[in-house]
Amino acid sequence: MTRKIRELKESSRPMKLLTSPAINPLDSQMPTVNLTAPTQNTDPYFDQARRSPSQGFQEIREVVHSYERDPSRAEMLAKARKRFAQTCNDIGMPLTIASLRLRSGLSQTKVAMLLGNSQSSYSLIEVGQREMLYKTFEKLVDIFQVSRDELAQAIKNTKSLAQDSSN
Amino acid sequence: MRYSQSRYYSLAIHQDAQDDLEQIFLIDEVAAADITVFFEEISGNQDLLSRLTSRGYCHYKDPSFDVDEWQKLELVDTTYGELN
Repeated sequence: MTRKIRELKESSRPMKLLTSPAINPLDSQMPTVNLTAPTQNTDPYFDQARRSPSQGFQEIREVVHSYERDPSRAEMLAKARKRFAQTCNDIGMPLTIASLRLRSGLSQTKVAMLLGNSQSSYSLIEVGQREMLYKTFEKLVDIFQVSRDELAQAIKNTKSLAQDSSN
Repeated sequence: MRYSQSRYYSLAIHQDAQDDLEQIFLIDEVAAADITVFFEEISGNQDLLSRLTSRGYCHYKDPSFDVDEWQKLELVDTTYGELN
């Protein structure tokens, strides 16, 4: 029985990928949260991830950020996001918050910045793991340039997909 | 107060891969931008990153993938020097 548990633990242990890209679990040192400190729109896990990349590796968001300093390359990336959204649509994927964002040619980081939120927090909304406030809903209507009905449908589809994947 | 079991994953690419991506940008900007956006989108999905690091994880629905295939690539990568 103990051996079985050990095997199960072993099999679920995250593996270290030597080929790129690298996905790094960052739970070795959990950051403490001071409840008396003023609230900030930062996620301690995201900050930790930003501070501790593996040697020789660079986080993809930083790579994209460096690319977007070049206006022509930023435009190429925006077009690529729109193509990504079109591909998702072509293969019959339902309209989600992520596909609306991609259709606008925006990255999660950019949308989070426009919302005044952290990327990690916004990403939870996109995968249907966090509810959004009404003011966030209104801001997203403006950012994505869509109707309220369309965004409401996208939120519904996002939650539905999240439920399907958890089952 | 500490967060409990939750885990935050980040997706990073190796310098060699960045160099390759730069080369692709010179040859085919569209393809390079597509690859970059693909990685960017994966990095925004913690659930997917978690699954991609679980040994033996298979996704049978479309798009199907098998994490064991990645492990095979890892083995190829580590033996690359010996093969050449």
